[in-house]
Amino acid sequence: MHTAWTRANTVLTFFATVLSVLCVVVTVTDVFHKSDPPISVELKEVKRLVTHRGRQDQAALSMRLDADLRPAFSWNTKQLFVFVQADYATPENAINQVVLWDKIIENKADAHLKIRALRQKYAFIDQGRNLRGLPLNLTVAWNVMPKVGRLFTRSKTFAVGTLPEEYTA
Amino acid sequence: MDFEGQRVAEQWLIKLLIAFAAVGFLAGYLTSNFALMAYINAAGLAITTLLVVPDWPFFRRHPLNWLPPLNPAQQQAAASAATAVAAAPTPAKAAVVKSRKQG
Repeated sequence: MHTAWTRANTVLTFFATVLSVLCVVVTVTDVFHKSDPPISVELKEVKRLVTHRGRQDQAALSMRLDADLRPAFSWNTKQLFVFVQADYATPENAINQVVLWDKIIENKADAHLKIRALRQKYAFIDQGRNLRGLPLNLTVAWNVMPKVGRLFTRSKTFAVGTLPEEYTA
Repeated sequence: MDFEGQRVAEQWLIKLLIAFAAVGFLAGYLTSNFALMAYINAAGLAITTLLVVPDWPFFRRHPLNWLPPLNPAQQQAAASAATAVAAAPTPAKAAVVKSRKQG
């Protein structure tokens, strides 16, 4: 502390210590931020159900999504990564998860998603030929990316019905 | 900056930085504004640096009181007496020692 340089060094290093403690405190506030965003997703229409290359089933879905993710934003949230995935079980795999659509939400004002005809961004292809007559679940999941702290995911799953028994033409 | 000034400066910087962090956190959390917290902390760093780093006059209010200087003649006499007692040199050697001290 006897020269200006040593004092400047002390100020900066102590500031860094204070900031690191502050970051921990900010992260803890997210533990107390509980949210239950109202979400609904429905299967509107199965546009196509075919065999892909003769070995794998492929479906093209149209969905209706209404998700109000504004409550998921806390003061420490940078952005959300939202995705819709198909969840189902087949004799080949007990757990199948196929992401159909995703979106990055950068601010709270844009977090109310109302999409009447949600079209797939990514193909829905099974590993085998198991999609006919399959009871399907759709999961809406959102990654919360905080400004400070740990990234985490929350999700809600809906049973949306059964795929058609026969291939479409 | 004197010793008392250094002590005061260190206490101030610790208290100021913690106070700004606490106020910034509360303000940011209560208004749900993360940037506000960051700006309050940045302002706190700037203010603390300005206050503590330069050698302001109020850090120099407690100068050290040094003992008054001894009389140079007395000092020399004491030194030569000490060497005489320790080594008991011949007059020629003593003269050499004395001339070195003066030189």
